[in-house]
Amino acid sequence: VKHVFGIALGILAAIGGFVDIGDIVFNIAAGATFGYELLWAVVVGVGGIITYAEMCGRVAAVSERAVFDAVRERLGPSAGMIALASAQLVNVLTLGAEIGGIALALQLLSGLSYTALVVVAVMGLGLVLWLMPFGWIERVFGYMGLALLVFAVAAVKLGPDWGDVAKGFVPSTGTGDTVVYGYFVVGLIGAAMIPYEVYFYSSGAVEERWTRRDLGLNRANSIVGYSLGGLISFFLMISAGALLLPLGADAELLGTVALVAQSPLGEAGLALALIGILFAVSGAAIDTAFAGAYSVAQFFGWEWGKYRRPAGAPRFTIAWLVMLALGFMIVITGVDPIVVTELSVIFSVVALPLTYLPILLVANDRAYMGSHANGKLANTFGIFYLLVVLATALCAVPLLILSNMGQG
Amino acid sequence: MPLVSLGAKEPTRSDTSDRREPHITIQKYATSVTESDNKRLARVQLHRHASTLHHARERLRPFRAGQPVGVHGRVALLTAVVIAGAGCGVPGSVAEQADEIASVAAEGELLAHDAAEGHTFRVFTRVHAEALEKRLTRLRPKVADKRVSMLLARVGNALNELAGAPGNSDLAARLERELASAAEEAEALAR
Repeated sequence: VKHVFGIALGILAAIGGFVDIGDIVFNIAAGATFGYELLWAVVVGVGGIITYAEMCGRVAAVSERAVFDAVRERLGPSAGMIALASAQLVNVLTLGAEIGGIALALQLLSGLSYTALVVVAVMGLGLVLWLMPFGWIERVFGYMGLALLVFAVAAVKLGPDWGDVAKGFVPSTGTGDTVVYGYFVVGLIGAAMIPYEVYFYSSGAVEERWTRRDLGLNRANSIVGYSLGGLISFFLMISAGALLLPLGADAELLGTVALVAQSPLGEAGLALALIGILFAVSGAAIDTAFAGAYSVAQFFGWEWGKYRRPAGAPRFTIAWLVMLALGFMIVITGVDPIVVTELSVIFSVVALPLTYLPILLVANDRAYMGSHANGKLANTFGIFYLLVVLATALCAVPLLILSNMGQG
Repeated sequence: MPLVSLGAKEPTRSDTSDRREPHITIQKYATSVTESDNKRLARVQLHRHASTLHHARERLRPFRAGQPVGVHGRVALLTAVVIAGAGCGVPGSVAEQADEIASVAAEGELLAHDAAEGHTFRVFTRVHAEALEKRLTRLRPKVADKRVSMLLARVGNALNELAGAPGNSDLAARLERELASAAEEAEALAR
């Protein structure tokens, strides 16, 4: 019973922790722009993150190796360094976006100055990273992020045409501007498969000392947790499609996301939406700061791990402090965090193959994995999604240019 | 920017006239029901019958840079961030500017409606109304057309008033009507 309870708690944390600011921004924006037409792209992205999270969790449980251990070994120092640099760049941008998102959510709750709240956000994150145990971080922010399920209620209450919603799950080329549509496809897949999630997931598995006995937990967390987490993405898009598209309202502000829950559900909807955004984005910021520190420590072979305490892994600790400082420097310039979010998602797409290829290679290596190496099913999905990320990586920059950075 | 046809069908002239009707109907409807939730939802349902074409135009401008950005490596990326953050992608044509105003006004109308019903927090109404007004501020220096300029001033003033007295439900109700009317006019100008 205790084991099942543990799995259930892990799944709940995975649901609440799935959504980050990239998911929120892209799903709401896609709903406001194309209605439900892009729901299928979320399915593709969630399938991708399930495939590779399960794979890297399995690698971590069996070989005790996290992603950047594999990257360094499989890509070699030069290509590995390129992978590390691109991953870190995307991590810093993502972290900047998350910090800005936290400050915006706090501002919508408190009415205080955005700049002051950026400082508060960074200090709060620093304290949590320094003081809170790993398991607590994962669960507190994951559970509170579940407040985003308010968008499921909002979507139902807004009464969308469920037939149109169902049609959105069928891949299509879209009925509008193909370039803008393609840009959103890439963005939605990128937001779901953003690399820090697998860096954090695999390193977290090592932190929690998973063994072969935890392979069931890994499967449950990745498959059930991410699938249910993907539901939040669906409901964000459906709500925006039902409310904002008919009104002709853009989705350029974080407050618009909260308005989507407020309109059908009143104050309770607004409060839950803002709390959900705050915790989901804070949790993602913590994951991203750790993911950046994990990556660099694993690549250079430093001591790493939250369980070691700051003094036990000083370079790892400095790494996440530097990540926080860089993220802070981006948002304190006054750059729009929503803009940074979208840039970080699009550029993370370019880094995706460098993250996922080494995972696929190691997961197939029987020298490490023994009988737990990829089977046919895992390889079929793994190769399919590698082709998907290669295609999206190739398309991301051209679409960025051709769509004039999303302006069409 | 090319228009995006969301419903696979472009609106006819009659579609565009239908587009205006919901706003009028909403006002009538709003006074005829007592249950506020139903009213809001009915309002949304009525809006849903509106034409879809104009909604697609530049609905989302995730990046506000005004020109394509070179994307070779980190330098270009950082440049893109700076350019985008500087808000250089302000709509240039009258139609685009009117469309931007229509979008802000439509969202402001929704915000004012919830404020009028008392189904929101004052802080949220204030902060979000200010953020919407800031979107117009970005547009202001680029506006040359007198009609756009007047609309911009109307919507900006309404949002400022809403931000200044977020707890005043009577005022919010008046501003809702004002913003709805401005949204209609902006939409007409955008076409």
